[in-house]
Amino acid sequence: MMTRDCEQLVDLLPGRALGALEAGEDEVVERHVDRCPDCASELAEYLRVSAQLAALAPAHDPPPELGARILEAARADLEDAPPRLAALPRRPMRWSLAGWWRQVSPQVAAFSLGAAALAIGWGYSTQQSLDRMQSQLNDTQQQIDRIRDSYQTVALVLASGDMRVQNLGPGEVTATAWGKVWTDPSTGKGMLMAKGLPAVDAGHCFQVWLTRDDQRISAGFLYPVGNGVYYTVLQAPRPVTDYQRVGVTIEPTGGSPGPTTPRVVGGTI
Amino acid sequence: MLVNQPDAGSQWAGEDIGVLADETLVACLGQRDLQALEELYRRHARVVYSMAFKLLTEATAAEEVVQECFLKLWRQPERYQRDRGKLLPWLLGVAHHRAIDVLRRQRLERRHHVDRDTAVLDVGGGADLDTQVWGNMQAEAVGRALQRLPDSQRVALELAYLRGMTQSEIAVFLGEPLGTIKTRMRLALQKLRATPELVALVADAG
Repeated sequence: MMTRDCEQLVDLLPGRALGALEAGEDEVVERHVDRCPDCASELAEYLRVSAQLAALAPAHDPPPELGARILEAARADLEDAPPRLAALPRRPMRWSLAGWWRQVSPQVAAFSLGAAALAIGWGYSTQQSLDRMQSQLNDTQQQIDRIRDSYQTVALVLASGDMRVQNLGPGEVTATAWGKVWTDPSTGKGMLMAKGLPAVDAGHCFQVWLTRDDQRISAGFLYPVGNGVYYTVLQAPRPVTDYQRVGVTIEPTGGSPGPTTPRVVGGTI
Repeated sequence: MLVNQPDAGSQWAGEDIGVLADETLVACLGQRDLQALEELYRRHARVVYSMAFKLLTEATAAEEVVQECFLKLWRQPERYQRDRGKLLPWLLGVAHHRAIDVLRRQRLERRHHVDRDTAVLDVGGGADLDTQVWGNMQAEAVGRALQRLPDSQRVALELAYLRGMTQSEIAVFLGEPLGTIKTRMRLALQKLRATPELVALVADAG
């Protein structure tokens, strides 16, 4: 929604995208777009256009040692600091062993991991145990972050006056599969629920695909929420309402670049 | 390959990382995947470096900008928000912003002012086209789109983006009111935004 702040700042957005603001104005714009999705989207559009002007720069190859230097600095970060949290988990959860980590708080997880480390300390070096604890703790935190983000998206979609719901039908794998997809044209967000899916082992997962004009992208993975229900918030580079179809296939854990098995459930958006 | 040995943080053994979208690779950076960083660098470093070199006109400063840009992506991948557009425009935005900072600091330090005689305006379709960073077709598309703008709007864009001048500096340089320069920039970007061939270009370039 356009506010008085927006009206005052809208003139600064083109200058911000072109790097032409005066000292101090950049910060004013950044503070505003951090809390105003409309102006953030407008600025992103100006940035997208102004980035085209880089095409006018004559090509220069960066020196080969620059890439090595950047990777070296990145590698040094890994040695200095624990892994950071992912903006989006690439791997779906581990179906059997790690699932319970989602159920506990980070504090409890940390305590339990500490106890576990004592128990298995004989078999492994302390460093290995610490590394694994850190990794599992990060997995836990990732799941918590993911769930919190999911709830926010679900609330946004459900609160929308334009929300659309489509039923999804079974594919070629099992006749029992069905689902629903909820989308909100105003935010471009959406979520998917599926039931009646076949069982998968720890080496496999359900990967979601969105199709637009015959181009298919991965939109994330389904997560079990109990009673045979699977669910995910759709992840896509464009508003999900730009896509025409959605489908789910069984893929090796970690996902595939494209579907490798027949569709389990799917339909139009 | 810059990463010669498998990394503990890498999960790509036997998989073709080259087919993954930029946005997927950025998500992998959050899991400290060096190979994802290497792949993103391989895809975009040349464009980012060329833009920085164009602004700063010297290799060392341009390298520093590229390094800061990619390490920012590595250390704060969450700063890139996929729902606000593709990665390359975001990377170019970060690098351009940094390059402008460096340029203005250099100007202050050297007490250097942009000389009217040296501010040669770049226009797409010029002699450099053979070596344009995104190749001939893209550079020509941008050049054609710019040529269709009124001269006053095109000059304002180029002085800002490629010369690093602020709106006030451009106003003084061209002897026009500041409000006029702001309006020209906004109109120019809005016209470029509506150019169909540039819309396609963004999809290809991202």
